[in-house]
Amino acid sequence: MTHFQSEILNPVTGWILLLILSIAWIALGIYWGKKAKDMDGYMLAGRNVGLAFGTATAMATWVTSNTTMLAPQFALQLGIWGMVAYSTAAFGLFLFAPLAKRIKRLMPKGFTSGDFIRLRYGKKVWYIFLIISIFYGFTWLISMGMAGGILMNALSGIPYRLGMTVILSVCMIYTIFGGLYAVIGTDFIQSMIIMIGVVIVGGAVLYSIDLDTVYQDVLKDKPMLLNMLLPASIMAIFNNLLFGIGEVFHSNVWWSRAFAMREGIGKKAYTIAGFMWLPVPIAAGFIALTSSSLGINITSPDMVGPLMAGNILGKVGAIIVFVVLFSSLASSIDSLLAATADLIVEDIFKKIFFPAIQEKQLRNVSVYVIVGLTFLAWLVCMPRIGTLATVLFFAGPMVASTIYPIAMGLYWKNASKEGAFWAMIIGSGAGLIAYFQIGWYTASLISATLSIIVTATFARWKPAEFNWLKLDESRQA
Amino acid sequence: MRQRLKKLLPILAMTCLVILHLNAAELPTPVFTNSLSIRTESGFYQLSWHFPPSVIPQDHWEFELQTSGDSTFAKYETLYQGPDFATFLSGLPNGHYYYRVRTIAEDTQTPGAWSATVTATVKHHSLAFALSLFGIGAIVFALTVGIVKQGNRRMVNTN
Repeated sequence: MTHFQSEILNPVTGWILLLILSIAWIALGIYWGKKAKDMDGYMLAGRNVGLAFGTATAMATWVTSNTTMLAPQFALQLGIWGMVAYSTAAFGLFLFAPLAKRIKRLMPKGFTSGDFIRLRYGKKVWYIFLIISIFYGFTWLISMGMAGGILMNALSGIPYRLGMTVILSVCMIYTIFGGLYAVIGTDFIQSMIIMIGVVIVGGAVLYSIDLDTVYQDVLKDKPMLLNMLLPASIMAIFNNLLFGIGEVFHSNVWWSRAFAMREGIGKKAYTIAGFMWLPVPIAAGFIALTSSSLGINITSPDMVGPLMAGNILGKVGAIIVFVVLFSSLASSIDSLLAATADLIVEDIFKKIFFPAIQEKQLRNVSVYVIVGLTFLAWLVCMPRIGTLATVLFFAGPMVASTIYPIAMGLYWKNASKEGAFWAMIIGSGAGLIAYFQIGWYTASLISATLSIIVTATFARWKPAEFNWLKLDESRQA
Repeated sequence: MRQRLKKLLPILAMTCLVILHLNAAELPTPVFTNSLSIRTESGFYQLSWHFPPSVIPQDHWEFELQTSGDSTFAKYETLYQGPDFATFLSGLPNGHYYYRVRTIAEDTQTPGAWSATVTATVKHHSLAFALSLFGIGAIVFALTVGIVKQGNRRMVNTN
């Protein structure tokens, strides 16, 4: 490891925690997975998920490494506005709430977000969308595999590669056994652990530090973090908000939950989950600002959250942080493995290559795809490339370009396939240029701006006249 | 006895100096792995260093990282002293910052030679540019909320 960082727990404690959590998640996953008798059960938990489980899975999935580790990174890099910028990702859930209701109504028997794009805009847009969506899913998976390795290394000195391998393997095993039933079931427990853990850590941090000292130290060592006119952070606010909306609107992680929830549940579940999630990045991000006062050396910005919490709260605190972060990582990795595998199996394998495939064979293919995805993510995670932010935000412009083809496509009859196609191409291209030329904190903003202009312009000047009934394949059959 | 001590004292002092010198000579000089010239518009960057491949790091070695506002280090501040091979800096205002690092023997506090100097230049994006993007972002967000709200209202009316 090049950037050696002093750890808080000893590796033996780390390995014991890792073993207990791994066995617990695998056992729970297998237990819940027994309910998955057919493909609807495996992929969509029988389309019968209620409010409690629906809210918990949405909240737990959104509290990923991106929240618990990236929010502190945002605070450390971009200051006060950085924390606020991160919490704006809750708008992704708030705005998806009404969309979930609309999706369930228009596509009562739908399987994936790819289904919607294919039926709404045709194959050309569908191919572009699949590339974007699978690329994003994969980048998210990599960022979380990396986060797992970084977390275990920072807290307990477990080598990065070993920690990353264990967390990816554990999530792979229980997702294979139980599909979305296992994912949603474990998410419920994980969301409870996350909520209780964040309250304990937040309370203990506030109790053990002097806010006035923290303020004075940040003002002396990192004055721009308290500057409300820090240019990079001002740009990051709406960039992150639009990235969050893009992530939720397009990703099959959220669509599969919308399909899986009972009629009338989705809107409530996503709204409540948004409110429960909103304070988490503020609480997680704040502790990054205490690094100056405590004189703790931060070698990499994505390590700041777990390191500060562990150092402030001591060994017990480090154990709580370890458990909370492992839970938040697992709750997202499993969701992502299941949803990305569904997209590949349903949209590519079945719809493109083998339309007549049997349900049992399809489930076997799902298993191979989940294993393959995990292996690929593991390979890419091995050399620790960049920080979590740089890895994840590389996909930002691509997902932001899908916001308006999705939103207008769900509500506007005149949103056209040409508009959707060019919105994704131009938005992604311009956003990537901004990523390299200006900074990652502008890429999604530029992409979304061009995407809304292009989609709306085509809808106005070259309108389509879409028949909503075409989205319900069961009716067509 | 006293005379003997007087004779031994210079030899003892010389021996100490030689040992100190040898220790210093043994301590390898760290090499920055990041560019020696950093330019940033965000006010944050990472400094990292390593030993040349021929050096086997010892447990009792640590590093001292100094920063200064001028390249001569006439006035400096120790940013970090410890075993880590990197540090992350953020929240820096516009300006030029200079950094150097050296190895220190933890037990004797004997320092090694300084590394090459890193020069970092922080020049934040212009506020006008940042506020323009902020404004565009606010408009795009408002339109997005409008699309969803209006679509939802229309859906309810249609039902």
